[in-house]
Amino acid sequence: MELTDLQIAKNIKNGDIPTYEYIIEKYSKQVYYLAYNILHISCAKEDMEECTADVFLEAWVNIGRFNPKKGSFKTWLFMLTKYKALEYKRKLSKHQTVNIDDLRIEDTENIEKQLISRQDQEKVASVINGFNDVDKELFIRRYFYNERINDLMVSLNLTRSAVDNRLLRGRKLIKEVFSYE
Amino acid sequence: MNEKEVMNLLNSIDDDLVDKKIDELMSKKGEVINMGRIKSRAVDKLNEQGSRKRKIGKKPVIAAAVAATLLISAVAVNAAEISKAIKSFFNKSAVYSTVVDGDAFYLPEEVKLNDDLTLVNFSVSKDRAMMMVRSSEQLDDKGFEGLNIAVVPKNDAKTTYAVSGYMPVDNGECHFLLMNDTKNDMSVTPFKDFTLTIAGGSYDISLAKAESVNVDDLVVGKSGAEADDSDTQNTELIANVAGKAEAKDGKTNIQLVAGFDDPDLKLRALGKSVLTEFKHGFENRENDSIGYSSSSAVNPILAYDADNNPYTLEIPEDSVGNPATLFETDAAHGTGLTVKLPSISVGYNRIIENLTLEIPREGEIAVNKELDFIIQKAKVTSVKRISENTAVVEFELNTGNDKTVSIIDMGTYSSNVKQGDTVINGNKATMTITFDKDIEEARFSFSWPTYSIQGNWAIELDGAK
Repeated sequence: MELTDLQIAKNIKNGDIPTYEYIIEKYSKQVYYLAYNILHISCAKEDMEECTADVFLEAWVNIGRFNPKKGSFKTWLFMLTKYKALEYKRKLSKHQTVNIDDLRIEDTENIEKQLISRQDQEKVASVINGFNDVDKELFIRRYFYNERINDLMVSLNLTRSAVDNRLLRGRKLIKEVFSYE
Repeated sequence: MNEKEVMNLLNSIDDDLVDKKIDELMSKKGEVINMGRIKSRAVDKLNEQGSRKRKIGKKPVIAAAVAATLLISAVAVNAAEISKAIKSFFNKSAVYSTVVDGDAFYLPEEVKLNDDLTLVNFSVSKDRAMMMVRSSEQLDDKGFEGLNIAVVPKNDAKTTYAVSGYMPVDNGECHFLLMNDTKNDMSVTPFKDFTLTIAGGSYDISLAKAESVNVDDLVVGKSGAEADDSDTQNTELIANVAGKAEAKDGKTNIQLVAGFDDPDLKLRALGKSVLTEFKHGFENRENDSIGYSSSSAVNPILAYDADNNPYTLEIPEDSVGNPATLFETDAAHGTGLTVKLPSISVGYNRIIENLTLEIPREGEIAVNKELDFIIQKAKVTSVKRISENTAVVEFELNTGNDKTVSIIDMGTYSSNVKQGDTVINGNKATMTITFDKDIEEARFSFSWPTYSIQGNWAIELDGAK
């Protein structure tokens, strides 16, 4: 049974363990993938798993800070993930200079969830599937996780124009599916 | 199409489609996401937060009983021959989604008591009475305590059962575990009709008799099914597991039953725990005691068809009663399945051992005292004073001969110690106790312990009829 964001928040505030386990099962992969992209160069797999587990504990402890009016629970979880992953990165990079830009988290609020039919969702998924590997990763990290362009440039070893062009190409293909203006 | 529009679009895609994309991306990198380990660590971290404290009420001596029972959780013998294994499955009843020993009675449908309260379910069997109530008001802990529940059987008006522990869940519902208030213990004699007093009102309730488990329908599991499991293969297990397949809505449901040589041994959960480290604790407060135990969450039980396709045994959404022993699968009606059940957790519902320990004024003393946990043994090895008010007690666990049985919760409690927190990892346990600085000895009881029995059972079920 799917829980709404409001139910998740309410249940966790009431100390409901099954709901805690529910969000872990539902979001582990997405949280891990985001943590992986931030940490995989400097951390072992166990650290990334530990970071992912810490994100869910953070969500439990700080559920009072989640405001459903400002954005979805998932988006809030991604915010926590970025903070937690950067915290890990700082801890593990004690003797290295951490780029101050890393410490700024882009505003991921005000993302509007739309009601899209399953069929249309599968169309979008199918379009993304048709991208080459680099474009696919770029597209998901930019538009699902709202990762910064600079981070993507470094991570995927692309120039700014290459990133922009690939994203534009992807958007055009999606647009054709939905005939957006 | 601008970036914001694309972001909105991608964030509107169902999570399972996103997960598929992530799987593909990670697979290209040669990476596999270990969901089981992440979940296990996340649950562990939550337990370390001490977030599973449950109110025990005014009866501290049965704290472990409540913690063990209210924690909810989420698989060849010749059938024609009456064997020791089959005998262990005699005299059981199927109640809601679980199986209990002896006769049992249960509430077949919800009963609306008044405008605010509904009796959602009720079940009673030997030494076990549980109920769930739903309130239309959003009751908090105090609210549920204030319901002042009492149950008096019609056939035994001198006995009153009262609440020994409770656990609120969602939707204004709350589980209650009942105890024998007249005898001040957990003994329960099953009854069919009773008077329920709740929130000042009095109601006559009539239960239905639960069906007995038909032993002839059961397929007994074979233990030691994993090739590298010499411990199980060379041991006569104290537990047996059996199952039967049932058809429901075109799919296969599976009922699992556990039977034990020792009739006092009770099933706590089916399946292997997600944890490798177990925590248990108690705290004596001014007016009551509270206790906590590690999550009883288990890894999913799997069944395989003839082509080795796996099917997960899922606990139904409307499951009532624990431990859950009735499962749903996606296997079509008629599919032959082999259920693979690596281990189960079991326990005794009583005090099984006592211990008095000298607390040194300073430093450490060796103890070397053996503890008899009935189906397993343990040893207290040392006590070390680490501050004016705290000490650490070390245990060596599983010192008996049966290597298939592991203690995972000793059910430790002390009435003259303020607080105790125990961590069990493999064959070692460490208990940190907090006490008044003048204490010379600490008195402990070990009650409602929990053990893991590794049987690596395989239960071969024909297609559901």
